[in-house]
Parts: sequence; structure tokens; C-alpha cells
Amino acid sequence: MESTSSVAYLPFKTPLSLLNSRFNITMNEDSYVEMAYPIYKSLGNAGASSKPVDLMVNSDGTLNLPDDCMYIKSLVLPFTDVDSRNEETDIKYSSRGPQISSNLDQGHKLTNKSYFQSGEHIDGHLLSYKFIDRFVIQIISDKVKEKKVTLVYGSHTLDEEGLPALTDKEIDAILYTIALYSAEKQIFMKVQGAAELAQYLRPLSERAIQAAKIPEILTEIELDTMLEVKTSWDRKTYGKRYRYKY
Amino acid sequence: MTLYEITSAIRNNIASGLKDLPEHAYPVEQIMDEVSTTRNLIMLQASQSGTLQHRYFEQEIFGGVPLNLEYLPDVLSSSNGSKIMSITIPKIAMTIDDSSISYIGPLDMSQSIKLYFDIQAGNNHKYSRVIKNSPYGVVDLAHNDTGSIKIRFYNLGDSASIKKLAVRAVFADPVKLLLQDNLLGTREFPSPLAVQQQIIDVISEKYIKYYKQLNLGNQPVIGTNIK
Repeated sequence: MESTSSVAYLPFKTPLSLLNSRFNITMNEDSYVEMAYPIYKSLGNAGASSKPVDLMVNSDGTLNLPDDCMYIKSLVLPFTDVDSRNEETDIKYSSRGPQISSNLDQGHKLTNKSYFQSGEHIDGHLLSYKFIDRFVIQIISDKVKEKKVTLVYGSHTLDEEGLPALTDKEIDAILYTIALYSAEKQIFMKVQGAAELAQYLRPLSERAIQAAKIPEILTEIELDTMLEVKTSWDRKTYGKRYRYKY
Repeated sequence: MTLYEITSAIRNNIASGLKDLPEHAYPVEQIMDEVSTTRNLIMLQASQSGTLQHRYFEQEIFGGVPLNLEYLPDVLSSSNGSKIMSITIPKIAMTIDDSSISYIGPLDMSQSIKLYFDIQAGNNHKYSRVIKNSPYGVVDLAHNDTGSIKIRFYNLGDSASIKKLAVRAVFADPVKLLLQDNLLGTREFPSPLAVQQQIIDVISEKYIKYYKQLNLGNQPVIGTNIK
């Protein structure tokens, strides 16, 4: 969810100090990152934030994706004043569908960015693409070479070191799970008392992981999106998508 | 206490305990060796009872350890090999979770390099999800003819900028390291004070008990064949 990613503000290595103060566990930073990253991914909050970015298409039609791109939400060629007006039929294309231009429409500024926008839907021509490499896509269109396109991709908020930022609940989940992994490692090393320790930590870890999967804040748009999935049409008006755009 | 102080305390105890015997002066080097092995014995007993705090037995190698360029021959041809940065350190003590080396890294203690104590585990580092390009070291526990072990480093990057590494570890023979640095009289022996006192008591009791029992002295002659 977009808004919950905004509360991810703590560095990824924050649980390192908590591991020492709460469980007397010290570990190498790299060992911690290798152990904590799969736990973070299993929480399912990765890629929660949407980021729109303007990129230039290469001369061969390929596009290099940003390093923090986890998946693509949309790739559009933004509307320009020239594209938005078809000279033959005098039809002006907009996000609300084709509209016949009239004097009354002169007051509408479709490029006005002062209205609320969720960031997931950018006005423009949707482009088709296919993956060549993990971070390189080939756009299936000859008209966009060396032009500026807008990419909206899912990413996560990063801290100063380039690792994902964490929320408070994610920190608890990682903390208890790493402590559980340490206890399980001691079981394999045949340390006495390790099995009881793991038995104590397992329900704490499971509870913290379940809590971390629930977002802290639900906005109106997120609630609307979730309810749209559960129903066959928009819950407020039949047959229309009801968005706050203006 | 320094090693000299510990050794002189032991010698005084032995001298007062074995004063009835004609020979009770033992070489200082012999007692120093006993101090090292007794410390390891106490550490082993403490680890079995779960009371060992091994960080209180750590030593540092003063001035850092120089990084050497080691040439590893290729498997198929001996002419093309790989060059690896490595260091040589004294033998380390055994711990249950391979935690005898608490720090290896730059001299300013800014970054601790991850260590693998198993060669196969070190080879599997490249399959790590996140840290496969980060620097790491593999400890080769098979010691060479001088009793030292080698640690090889990978992914160091611009290794020309790193000349020396700082090492903090629990070494198997602390006396040997003190002898190398010529710090017997000034440097504190790497163990807590309670353990130092325990070392003195154990060695003193051992010498007095064993050598008093073994040294029977002049026995009267009984049942001779003199006629």
C-alpha cells in the first residue's frame, strides 16, 4: 500500500541493536542482512510504494529500468498538446474519454497537476513492452525512440545504505524471527536448553509476522481499491470508475 | 597481572611448598607454557558449564597484520592462477560457535569482515542472496609448520588501499603472542583476574602435589645381601 510505505522510515539495520539489547545476540552486519532480507520479503510489503519517473527511451527502443524497480505498474507516453487533438475529427482525447472540443472546454487544463492524483494512473498512451533482461525492456513501438516516457513502478522506500526501510511492526517481526533462527541453529549445535528457547520464540515470531502484514493506516483510496476487487463493479456508481481527479 | 607476575607467584608458591626437597627451582619458560595450557583448560571447563565469556580472553595483534598477496595455482594449469589477499595469524582457540575471532577488518574498526570457518561454506558465499558481492574471509584452520593459520579474503575490491588488518581474537597460545611482541612484563595477561588467580592455584597445586608425591627422598636400606 502506498501510504503505509510512507511510515517505513527506520533503517534496515535497526534490529541489530535491538537483538543485542533484548536477546544478547550479536552478529556480523552482512550475516544479519542475509538473514533478514528473506524475512522482509515474506512479509509481502515489498514494492508497496509507487514511483513515477520520466525516462528517455534509447535509440534502439529499449528502456533501462531503475535499480530499485521491483515490478512495472504502467508505462505511458504522456499526452502532449499535439497528440491530444486529432486534426481530422477534432476530437480531444482525455482521461475521461473522447470529448468533442468546444469553446467550453477551453477552460479545462488537462495538464494541470494541482488536482489529487494517486500516482498509479498517468495520462498518456499505454505502451506494450517485453523484458529482455532483469532491468531492460524492449518497447513494442517504433514511435517512441528517443522520446520521454513515464514509468510507474513498484518499489520500496530505501534507507541511506540502499536497503529497504522498515516500519515498526516489520522490525518486531524481523527481531523475533532472527532470534528464533539463532535458537534453532543452537539446536543443531546440540546446545542444552535451545529447544525450549525455540519453543518460546516460535509463537512470538508468528504473531509478529502476522501483525506486520496488516498495514498501519488505510486511506480512502486503498479501501476503495480493496472493495473494488471484492465486487464486480464500482461500489458507489454502477458502470463508472469514481475517482477524485479534480 | 602480567605474565611475569603470574610466573613469579607460581614459583614462590612452589618454592614454599617444596622447600623440603633438594631441587624445587623450575625454569620460567616451563611455567609459562603451563600458564597457557591451564588457561585453555579453564576455558574449556567454563564453556561446558555455560559460564564462559570468551571476549574477556581476547588479544589484539599490535600494529595490525599485513595483507599478503598469495598466489593460488589453477587446477588445470599451474601457469594461470588466481591471486588472493591473505593474512597469517597464530592459532585460535576452539569455541562451540566459531566465535573466537571477534573482529577482523580495517585498523579504524569501522567494518567487520564476515568470516567462514568452513571452506565449503566460504565457497557457497557466492550463492548468497544479498551479500554475495560483499567482502568475506575464509579461515583455514589447518595450521602450517610454524603453528599459524591463514585467512584468505575475497571481494575486497580495491585491495591496494588496504595494507593491514586489525585482529581481535582468543588465541590458543597467548604466551607465544606476548613473546613475539616482547610484552611479557608490561602487557596484562589476557584473562580475567579471577581466572588468573585460578591459574596460579591450579599450577601451584599440581607441582606441589605431583612432585612431592613422586619425590620419595632418601629411603632406608632394608634386607641387603651384605654378609
